[in-house]
Amino acid sequence: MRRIAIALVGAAVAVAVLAAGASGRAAATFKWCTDPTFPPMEYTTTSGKIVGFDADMAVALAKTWGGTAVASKTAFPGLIPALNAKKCDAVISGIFITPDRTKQAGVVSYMHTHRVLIVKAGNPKSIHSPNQLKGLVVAVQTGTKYEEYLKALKAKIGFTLQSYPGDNDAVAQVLLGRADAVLTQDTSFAFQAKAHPGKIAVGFTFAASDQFGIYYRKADAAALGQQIKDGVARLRVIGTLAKLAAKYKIPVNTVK
Amino acid sequence: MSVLRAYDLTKWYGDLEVLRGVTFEVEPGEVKVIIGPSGSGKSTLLRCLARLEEPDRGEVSLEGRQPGPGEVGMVFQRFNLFQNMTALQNVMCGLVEVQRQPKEAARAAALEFLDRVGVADKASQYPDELSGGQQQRVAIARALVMKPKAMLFDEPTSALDVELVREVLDVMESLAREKTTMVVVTHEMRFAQNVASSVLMMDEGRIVEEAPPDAFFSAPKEDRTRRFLALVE
Amino acid sequence: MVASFDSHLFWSALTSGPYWRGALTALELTAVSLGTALLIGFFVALGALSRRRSARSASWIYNWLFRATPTLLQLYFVWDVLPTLWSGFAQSWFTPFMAAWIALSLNEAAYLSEIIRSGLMSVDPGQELAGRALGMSDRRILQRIIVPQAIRIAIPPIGNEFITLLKLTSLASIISLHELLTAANQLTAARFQYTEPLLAALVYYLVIVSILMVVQARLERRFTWTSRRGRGLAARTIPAISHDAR
Repeated sequence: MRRIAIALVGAAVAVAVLAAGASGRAAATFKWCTDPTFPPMEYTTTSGKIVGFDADMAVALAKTWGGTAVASKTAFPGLIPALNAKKCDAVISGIFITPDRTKQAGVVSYMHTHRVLIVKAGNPKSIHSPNQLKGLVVAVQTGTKYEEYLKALKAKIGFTLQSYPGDNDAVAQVLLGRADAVLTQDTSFAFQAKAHPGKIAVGFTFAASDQFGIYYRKADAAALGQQIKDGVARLRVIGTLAKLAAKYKIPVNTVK
Repeated sequence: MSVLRAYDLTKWYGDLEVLRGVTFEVEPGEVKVIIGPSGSGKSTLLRCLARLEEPDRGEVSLEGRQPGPGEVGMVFQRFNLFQNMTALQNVMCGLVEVQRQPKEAARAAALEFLDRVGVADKASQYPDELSGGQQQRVAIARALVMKPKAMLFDEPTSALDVELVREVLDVMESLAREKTTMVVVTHEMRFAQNVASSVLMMDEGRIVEEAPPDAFFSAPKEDRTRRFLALVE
Repeated sequence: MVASFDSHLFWSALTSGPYWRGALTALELTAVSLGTALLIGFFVALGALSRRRSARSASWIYNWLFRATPTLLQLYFVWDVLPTLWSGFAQSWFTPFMAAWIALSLNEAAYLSEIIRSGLMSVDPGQELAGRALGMSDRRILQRIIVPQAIRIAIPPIGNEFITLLKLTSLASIISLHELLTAANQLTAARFQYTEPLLAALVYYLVIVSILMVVQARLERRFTWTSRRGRGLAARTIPAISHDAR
């Protein structure tokens, strides 16, 4: 009798180990990296918990294959390197889909948004286009495509560029009156305008839209990558993405 | 008129009364030697005379007035030469910093006094490189060069190796013979016998006895003096 | 999966403008902050050693306040809180360099004042006594006798503080100062490679610290009072203040 019990326990353990060991296949925990300084996509509560659109989406996404999402904090410039170093299985961080990134990793798109130049309410410096930033002070989050774009623009027209660790740090500089404008995403504006009503406004919206993507390792394309693709499609169809967008005051057409 | 005069000096260190109404004076050219057990207030008396400490009661006067800076020279048991200066710079220091003499004049005077105490060849050396006896002689030169009205010596040879004591006492004896006004706290009885005008015994913050050296050593009047002399013989 | 070393990236980072300028900024910020901190710290140290109770209390409060606050917090305070007190601090004349200079100086002065105080205390009290016997004023005694001897003792721990301060300048990147670490971070973000950009930054830090060590050795020799140079003297030393908690 005892020998049978031991054998059964042994088999159960073996099955569990095999299940957990299989990379990317029905993984119990879905570890995703994010830089929670980009409300409303991801940010932290006063108790340090990571919340936001991406956080809720990650939980819903993992549920589509029966897994549990676990968030991991990483500074923005270190997100893709962390993914490649297997510190996490996916990156969900309001991060654009760009050619240099898709060279390094696979991606699934989930939201279209526009870049905006946020200014002080009333637009005192009359910023209605990027070229009107000439001679002004512009804040931005460091290590982002926003910073890349502004650096190139600065070389052309000339202005003071201040780089900060977090997106919310950069927006704060406009609220303080130190920066005349901050380049970020309309999602960020939606949140910041709610937090600081009447203090900020959109000076200029960029026509071209960007896509936010979920990045995964190229090696996982067949397994986890496919699960993510299917999961996002499903969440879109059953309206979860639209519900989350409404929750965070993000225009619903961004997730269509 | 006395050169240096202390009247009814009283000093407390916390609860301890170190000087109990000490009155003391020294005439020009006199050499007074003070002896006594440790804790008797000898060093404190000297420091009050040199204006390094303020008495709680009583006063110190030089020629009937307040002593000016450097007018009362002091030589310490542990030399206290300025470590960051050469022997020459040590001796020049007072002339340049206090008497505001130009450097060249100060240097000439300093060299002269270093020569007088017999360490002219060590002028450009630092205190670290000199023997105790040499350091003390530089210290004497440093005080002397200021042309003080009186010279105070606080156990000048107590920290020296035995064989170095002689060279310092020689300098002090020659100063005494030149009629320098001196007050010396010391255990060197032979020095006292040779050059002192009078010897004083201090104990427990008071001057117990004062007499010329012959009388003092051969026939001390006080019991305490007798007992102390017996100890140090 | 060990990537091969991209020596081309390493060399181009090492010789790039942002790195060179960033290193100069870091060095500049360290030097002016240390200088200002030495000045402030000296007076705080004198206050701590003063006979007047009011001076001692003031110094105590200063050290307590600035040693208790993390440097990062002080940087944030100077950059993000001051403008709410006076809008002038939000204007462009108040640069990140200036803000970092203020925060780092005030912070470092507290640590330096303790080093300076130890140095002053470790000078033999007989030195001051002899100075006063000659009739020197307190200020002259301090200037000609006490401070030179205190400096000799304080040089090694102050050299340490220079190095700590150099590393602290990298914190100023959070208030948008473009220094060495900023240059490295931006390169890692653009190229997704960590090793080569950070190694290049490390080389710069190493070079600066090496130069400092040579300068320190020279200074120590200048303050060694012996007519025979090159002799090791048994110096009274004071331990450097630990940096772990910073």
